Amino acid sequence: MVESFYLSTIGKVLKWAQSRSLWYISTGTGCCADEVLDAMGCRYDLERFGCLPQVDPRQSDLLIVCGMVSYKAAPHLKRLYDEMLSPKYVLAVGACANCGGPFSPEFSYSVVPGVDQVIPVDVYVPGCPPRPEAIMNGLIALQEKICGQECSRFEIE
Amino acid sequence: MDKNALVSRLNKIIPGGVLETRRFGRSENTSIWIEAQAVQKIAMALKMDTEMKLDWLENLSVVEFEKVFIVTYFLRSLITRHSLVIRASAVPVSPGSEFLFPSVRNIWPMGLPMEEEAEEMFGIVFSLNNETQFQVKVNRLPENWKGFPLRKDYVFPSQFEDITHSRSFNKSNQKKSSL
Repeated sequence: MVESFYLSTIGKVLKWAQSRSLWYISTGTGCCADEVLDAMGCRYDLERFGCLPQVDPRQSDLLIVCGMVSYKAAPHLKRLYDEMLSPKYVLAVGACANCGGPFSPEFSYSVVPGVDQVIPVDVYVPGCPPRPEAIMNGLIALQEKICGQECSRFEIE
Repeated sequence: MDKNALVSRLNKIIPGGVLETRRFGRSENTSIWIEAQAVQKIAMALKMDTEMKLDWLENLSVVEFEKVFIVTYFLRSLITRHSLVIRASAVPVSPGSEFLFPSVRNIWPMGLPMEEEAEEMFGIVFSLNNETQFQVKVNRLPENWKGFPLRKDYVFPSQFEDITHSRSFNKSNQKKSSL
């Protein structure tokens, strides 16, 4: 009883610490990378959520995929994801990363229709490109997901 | 500069090389249609021409129009400020197969990357010599890619290396949540 109490409490603290220190590696393959740069900047300041940009996949917990992924880039993205240490999360930013967007399979021969065909995605941020507020919203949703809370969800009927 | 004088001069250098002169699209530029086999000689003559001095290949584009491949060279001179469009056409021996076309990369080195791109996208092998055996080099497309994507008869792949090239939006599978 006492052990489980301690474990659950430590688990909660660990999850809280994880969600508040999401160091991320960003793959800027499209124009949504500019919006992520905006969100990093002084006006929106992602660092107050504990998000630090990293250059090494082994030191990062979060992979932000911004932009479309071509078939040539897909194995490299998969390798980048495999090099990250667990627990690891993926944030897909923009319509191209979510489902192909304007490069949907009917119109493009070379773009993967959604990153979730290659790597598992935790949070999808819609928009073309999404505003920095939307990216911040996605990050907060990911933090809530890590802590085990109900995510804010919005669905159009 | 008068284009008719240029065409007559080119006709003297390479007899039968120039087919006709036409307006280029809706613009006021004239384009010169030339024989595909005379591309290298005419390109060299235009570069060495004392009045034109077309020393810059601005762009090289390929278009497939009713199973005929039209190669367009956009030329410009940095010295005399002249510009010219020359076009040549070719038909593949059998539909879907790659074919040879004379290269201009030894005359304008800028033509090399554009020719390589056209080679991969359209299956036109630009070569300096008329080889009997040739193969398309793949640098930009992924490895194991089949077909030439910008041809009209190209069929999109249904799958490429374990990635399905389609996306189904099944509404019944989506969870409904109350706002």
